[in-house]
Parts: sequence; structure tokens; C-alpha cells
Amino acid sequence: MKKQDYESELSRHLGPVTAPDELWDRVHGAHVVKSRPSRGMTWQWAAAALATVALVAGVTVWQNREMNGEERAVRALSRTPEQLQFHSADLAELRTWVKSDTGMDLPLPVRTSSSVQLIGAYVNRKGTPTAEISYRVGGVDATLVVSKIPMEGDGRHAFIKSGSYHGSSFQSWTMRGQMYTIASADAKVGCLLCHSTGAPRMRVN
Amino acid sequence: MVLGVNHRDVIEACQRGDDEAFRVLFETHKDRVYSIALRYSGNSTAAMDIAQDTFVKLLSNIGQFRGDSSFESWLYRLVVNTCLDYHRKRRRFLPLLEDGLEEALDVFRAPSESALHDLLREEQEERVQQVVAQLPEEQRIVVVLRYTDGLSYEEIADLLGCRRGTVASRLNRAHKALERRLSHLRPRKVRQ
Repeated sequence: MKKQDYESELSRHLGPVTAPDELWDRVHGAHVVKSRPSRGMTWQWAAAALATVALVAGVTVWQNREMNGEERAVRALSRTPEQLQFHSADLAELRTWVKSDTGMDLPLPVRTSSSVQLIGAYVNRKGTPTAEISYRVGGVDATLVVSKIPMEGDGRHAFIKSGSYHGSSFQSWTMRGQMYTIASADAKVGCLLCHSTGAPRMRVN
Repeated sequence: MVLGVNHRDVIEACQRGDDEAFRVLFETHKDRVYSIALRYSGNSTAAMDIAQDTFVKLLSNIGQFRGDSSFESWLYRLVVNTCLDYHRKRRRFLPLLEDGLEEALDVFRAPSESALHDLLREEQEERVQQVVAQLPEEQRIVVVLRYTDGLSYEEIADLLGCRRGTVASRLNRAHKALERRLSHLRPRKVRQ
């Protein structure tokens, strides 16, 4: 293509155009807003700033809040084996490790049913110490979360609540100054960790 | 357009804060400002933003216009600077359109002697605009001022505060880039 040709092509294709009618509305609107900042606008900005601060504070508080049992248990369900801090298929080992790490004694049975496969444990030392025991029953993932609470009553088993949270079943109860929550996809399998053999509970020192 | 009104009087009235005078200035220059913004940015949304910013700046700064140069030159500087500012602000966020460019140029490879001729012409205009919008900033503004507003090399040099030779050099480089990228612009003849 010769120079004159594409210069004329450019002039033709890049020639002036008509501005859209709404340009005036935008210019006029921007001018009015810029030149006359009203008291109302100032208050709107202040309200927006306050709302933003409140939102940020709310999110911060929400992120740092103490989660309840079912939240912890359901979140623990999504933990992969690699994310656990201690791996063992032996209940006594898990119990000893949790005891040494958090001071909490888990009243687990000496042995479990052959259908229960222990995977490992994870402890959270921030705020209230919490221990999570991950296991699998017949191919279904389950988690037992235990945390310390103020001692109340005679220390016997006291049911708190059960239900569904984010698609997983859970049951919570308190016993001997600790709160327990079991979560799994199947409401029946979680309990088999302790209630499949009828074996006596063991005690660490 | 209000061509019968004395431009100087309108500008002075605008400097005194007369809204009607500002409207007259807007109506007189809106097409030119919008055209430069559109050809520079390559899309109508950005062009509206640039044109809006230009007129808001015009209103804010018109008190500083002393008449040392023509009002048109002053306005040109305003719109050029707004284009460059807009480009700088948006540079980080603009995706590269190289793939889209190749795809766009495919359109021109189609024969023009068809019922779609008019449609293709419109598309050509859009594609040329896209290719121009991808030129380096310093070349793009020179091309737009040259071909959208038909300014001379001297006028462009004066506006951009550079020498005529610099304008010629930038235009030359832009021509080469455009020639390379728009080599398929001319439809091929179809053999009967």
C-alpha cells in the first residue's frame, strides 16, 4: 500500500465523529458535584467511611472469633491427612500426644472397632486449647473435636445439641470440663469411635 | 453549534462563571474533544470518560486562560493531557489485545465485493481504531492529532512542546507500524 493510500485510509477511518448526547449530562453532573459539595454529600461520605470502618472491624472480629464446636468440627473434616500435626493409628499414642500438647485428657477407649481407622490429630493452642482427632469409619470421614470449658455440674455426660452444619452432621456434649463435638457426613458413624466395642476407658497417668 | 457568538465574549463570560457560556463552549467543541478522545483510546467508554474530564478541567481552569495562544490550542493541550493522564492511569489494567488484533485483521481478508461491504467498512473503521489504540502513547497522540483533526506537523509540535522533526519521526514510526499491522486492510480481489 502506498503512503498516500494509507494516509487517506487513516484520515477516512480516524475522522471526526459526533459526540453522544449524554456527554453533556455527564459533564454537567460532574461539574455540579465538583463545584457544589453539599452538606448532604459530606454526610454521605462520612456515613460511607463509618460503614467501611464498621465492616472492616466486623470482618476482623469475625475472623478472630472463637469458633463453636460444630464450626471447628466441620472445618476439621476438610483437613487433609498431610495437614495433621500428628499421625498415628494407635489411640493410646494419640491420647498421649494430645495430653502432652494441650493438657487435655481424652477419655477414649483402649481399642476401637476394626471398622474405625485412626488417621491423626491436630491441636490449636490459640485461645482455648482444642484438639481434633481425625478418623474414618467404613470409608466415611469423621472428626472428634475436644476443647476445655469451665467445669460445671458433676462432670457427667451432658448433651448440648445435634444437627447439620454446612452439610455435615454433628453432635455436641460436655463431660468432665471438656466439650466434645463429632462431625461426619453420616450421623451414625461418628459415635463408633468410642461406642463400637464397649471397651473400658483408659486413663493417662 | 453557536458560531455566531463572539468566542472571546463567551470565554470571558465562562470565566465569570456563566453556565450558559460554558454550555456554548461545550456545544462548540464537544465533537472535536470527543473525536480525539475516541481515536486515542479506541473505545467509546474511555472516550466519554476522557471527554468528561476534559470539560470539567476546562471549567476548573478557564480562569487561567489569558489569551496568549488561541483558545483551540489551549483546549487541545487540555484534551491531549487528559488522554495521556488517562492512559497512564489505566496502563496497568489494560489487557494486551494482540490476539484480538490478529483475529480482527482476518476480517479484511474477506472479499469486499459482497452484500456485507458496508458492514465490513464499519468493521474496518473499528479495527483501524483498535490498531491505532495499540500504538505507543507518543506515536498514538501524534497520529490522532494528524488524522482526526488534520493538524499540521508544526501545530502538533507546538501542542506537544516538541520539535517538528520529532513529530515527523514519530509519525514515520507510526506509519510503519500501521502499515505492517494493516497490510491486510485492502480486500483481495476474488477471481471469477
